[in-house]
Amino acid sequence: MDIPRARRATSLAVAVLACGLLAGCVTTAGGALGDLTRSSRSAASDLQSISLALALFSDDRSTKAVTGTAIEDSLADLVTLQQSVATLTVDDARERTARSRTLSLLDDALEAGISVKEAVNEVGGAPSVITAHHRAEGAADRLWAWSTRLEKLW
Amino acid sequence: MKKLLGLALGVLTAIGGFLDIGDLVTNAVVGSRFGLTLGWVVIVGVVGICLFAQMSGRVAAVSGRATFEIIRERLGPRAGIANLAASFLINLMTLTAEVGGVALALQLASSIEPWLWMPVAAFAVWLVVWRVKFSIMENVTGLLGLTLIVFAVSLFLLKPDWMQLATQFLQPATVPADAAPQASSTYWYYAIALFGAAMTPYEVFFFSSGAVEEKWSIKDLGQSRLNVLIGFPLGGILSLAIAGCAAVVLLPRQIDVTALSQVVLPVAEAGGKLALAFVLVGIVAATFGAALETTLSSGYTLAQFFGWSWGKFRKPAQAARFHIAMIVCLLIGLGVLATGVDPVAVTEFSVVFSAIALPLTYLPILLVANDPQYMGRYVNGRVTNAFGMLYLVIILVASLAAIPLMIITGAGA
Repeated sequence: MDIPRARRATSLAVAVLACGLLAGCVTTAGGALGDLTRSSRSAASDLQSISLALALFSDDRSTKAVTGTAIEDSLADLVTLQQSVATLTVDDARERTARSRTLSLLDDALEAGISVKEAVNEVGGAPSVITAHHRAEGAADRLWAWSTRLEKLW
Repeated sequence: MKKLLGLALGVLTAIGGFLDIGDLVTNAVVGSRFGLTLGWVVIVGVVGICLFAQMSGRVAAVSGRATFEIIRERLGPRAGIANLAASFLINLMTLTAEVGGVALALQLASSIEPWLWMPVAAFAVWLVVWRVKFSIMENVTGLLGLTLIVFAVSLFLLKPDWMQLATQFLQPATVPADAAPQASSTYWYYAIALFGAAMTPYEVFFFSSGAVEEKWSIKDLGQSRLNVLIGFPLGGILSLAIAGCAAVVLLPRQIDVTALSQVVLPVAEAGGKLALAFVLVGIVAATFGAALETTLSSGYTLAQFFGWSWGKFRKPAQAARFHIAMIVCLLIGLGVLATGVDPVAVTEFSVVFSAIALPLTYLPILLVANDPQYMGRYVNGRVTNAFGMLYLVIILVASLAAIPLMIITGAGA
């Protein structure tokens, strides 16, 4: 039995409307502060990944290709996070302050990541592997601490 | 002896060919976020794929025709086109993810940027599909894919707290009470992604069409069942091992998996460079094998629906539209990857959309496997039908919940 065309069109319209409503009603949890929390956690995760890759490389358990790729992947993610935080819409002074603090920590994270990359590639003037490792872990810890503080502000 | 070797080869290639980029990425993502608490989904998914793969293999062996040919004939072109559209689009998405996966795996081995590997991977896929015999293609990629057993070995070498892993596995769906309100939705979103990864539709099309390619008959039903009922569950154990490795190494460090490079880090920690070499060979073989299967599945679905001449057992000139369809699909996949889209993101979406399209893929198979006109006395038994109906309910629930959960969780963010 054929379903009348009008009924099919109505069903389709209802389905599209339902999806639209869901998409419209459900925003990301915590608003701008929630987004900043998630960005900080993702950045901390990236730095932990860089640290692990570096530790495995220093122990001669991983190849330069795998280490380099893992570092590049995390750095690319950090750049994306930095761009999304920089363009995040904020509504008040509290959110603005939180965004600028997050951006500053993300800058540190990116620099720490780049120093690890240079240490692995033995670029002239690059910090030692141990120094770069400490720097990355320190930046990750600061991002974790910041994300925990941010979460309490939601 | 020859028969025994044939049986062993079938089972081994089924294990090695079970994993693809969707399984590799999704299991590692889930392990790094939830430990083994979603391990039950892998079991549900593996039982489901065994059920429907052996059903479609039986349809092909008994009728001598692939599932899609019969679906169109049995359900008519209207219902058939819905089935075709859903299955074909998901397959195309999976093909794109697999070609991207080959490129990412080759990057891990060589440091060369993945976008330079993508055309090479696509060309190699086309060349193998064009020139290499079906059985050689299937056996070589399947056997090389077996090197992914290194994930299971690594899990032992990591000396995990087995009690903790067992507790996670046996106490599923435990989201801490103090977790964010979204945590429960995210858990279920990943449960659906994992289910979609285990039950990817192309596996069934490929299995059924492969049976026709290899000219299976009723006397091969035993071999077909063995491949599915032993090979796939062992492949499922490898999926759990990937999640286990991520749970032991990445979860405590709070590393969320967003790239293929992170999936191999636990293996390097466990077994050093030797284990790393094995895992890289395995990932290249698994993704390349799956790229071949999805490319062929694209051709199979279209050719079988439209009644074109198809199959690798025919010379390309005798199945021109089948081969052109595959080339076009490869070019589309390559075009999508050329936009700079992250292959891991394509993978994550492809497994969720697989879950959405599952009812359209699996309901027709159940109908055909119950039709005595095609199956004679080999129609489904009561137990198979009971499981089939149960799985249709699960598939339907997963399909309906997938989009709302995707929106609520921001695609699992």
